[in-house]
Amino acid sequence: MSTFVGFEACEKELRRIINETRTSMRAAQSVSEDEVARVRMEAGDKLIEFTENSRPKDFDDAVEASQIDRLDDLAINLMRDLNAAGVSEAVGRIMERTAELNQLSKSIRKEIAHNETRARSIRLTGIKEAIDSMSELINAAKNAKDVLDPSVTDEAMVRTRIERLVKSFSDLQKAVSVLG
Amino acid sequence: MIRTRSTGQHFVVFMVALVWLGGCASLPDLSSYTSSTIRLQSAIDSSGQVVLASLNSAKKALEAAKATQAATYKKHAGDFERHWKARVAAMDALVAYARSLEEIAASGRSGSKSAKAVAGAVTSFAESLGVVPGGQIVGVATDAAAFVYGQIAIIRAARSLQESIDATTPVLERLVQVIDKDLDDARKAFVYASDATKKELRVDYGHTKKAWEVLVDRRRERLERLHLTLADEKVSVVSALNATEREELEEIERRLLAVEPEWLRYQTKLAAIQDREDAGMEIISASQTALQDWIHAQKDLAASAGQRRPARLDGLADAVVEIRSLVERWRNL
Repeated sequence: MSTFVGFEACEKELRRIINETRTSMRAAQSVSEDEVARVRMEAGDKLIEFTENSRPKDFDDAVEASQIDRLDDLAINLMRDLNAAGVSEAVGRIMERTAELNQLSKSIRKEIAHNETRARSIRLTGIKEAIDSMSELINAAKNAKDVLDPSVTDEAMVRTRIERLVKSFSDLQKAVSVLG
Repeated sequence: MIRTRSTGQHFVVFMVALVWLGGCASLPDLSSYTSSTIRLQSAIDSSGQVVLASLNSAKKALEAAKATQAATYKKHAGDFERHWKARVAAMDALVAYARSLEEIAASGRSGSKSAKAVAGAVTSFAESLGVVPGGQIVGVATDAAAFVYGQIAIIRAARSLQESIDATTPVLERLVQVIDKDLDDARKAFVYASDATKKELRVDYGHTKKAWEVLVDRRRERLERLHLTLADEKVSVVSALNATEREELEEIERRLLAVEPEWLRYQTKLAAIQDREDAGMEIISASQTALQDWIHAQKDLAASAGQRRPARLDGLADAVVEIRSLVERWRNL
């Protein structure tokens, strides 16, 4: 890029870049988001290149140098605004899609729950759960055994049967524990 | 006797039918599908981290420049981080879904074992209650029931897989489309933010660049006026110059030497930002490729279940393995 020497030349060049950017942006907006992004980045590059190539006629002239610094600041702020607008739009679009994404995730979670039921059913987990739910009944039987008098023949017989039942049930629980 | 033979024949026919059906139904090995889904989840997560780091770098650069836009980048970084979590959560759901499919297949494979455990245990329990007779008859019946249920479990698992995959594939296709668009926008945000950081650096070093170029121009001008070239000056033809001319050139040289370290520092910093940008872009692009590979694998899984052929899941691992090494490179930059 060539250099722009003196305030007038610099101001003219900055005006040209701004007008060109406006026109290009309008055209890009009717094309695509990608095109808008391309124009924005290119405009940003031109603005920053402008600041790198703007020169006072005389480096020792503080007034002219400060005028050119102000033009540079204008170009820099415009470049920053262009980039920030680009980020804002991109993040905004991501945010807009979050609700739909959450809905899709929810559908998948529902299907996962359904799959878990399917797998449990294939693994015969229902039977295991039925056996687990019998634990309370067995505990009640154990308690009943304790109140039976072993010295009374009939009660001793019931006690033996309860003991056998409890042991068989415990074996059964161990056997089905592999079902997960 | 006739009745027993008839029952036996029916049993044999039933078993043959089940073995045939069981042979037709096959359960795919879904381990590579699950592991690729886990890695894909990590790739999407990493892409988010790359973008977030880029937004934070831009914020930091603008804060240093005391620019008003720093607050805008801070807000965008916060919004992006919060909303990207929904993408990671969606990927979590995909992983859980893959695992649930694997669980169905595993249940089908262990059907015979499950049936044996239940049948054996229930029989012993019933025996202790005096409900069924013990001995060999029960043992044979248990084995046969376990075998039969093993075949049924395979068929049920294959059917469950098919049903689940058929029901979920359209949802997954849409999910992948959304995340793909998100990655497109994430890339745009990333590039804008990285560009903002680079341009802030150019602004920071703008005076250095200008000073460097002005001095180089002045030197060339002086040398041209004296009908000399830079090469002449370097071989010290300056002896041909008068004292004022020599002093002027020496002053320019002194100033150039003073600016040079700053100029080099600028170039080093710019190259570092560019390297991170290149590495980040590769991660986002590779994530998009992996996402497409994943949905193709999902569709193939759906088709293969219907056509009773193994799914083609081998290529799936390559794309996601590549991302892991890209992320490592990006982290080391």
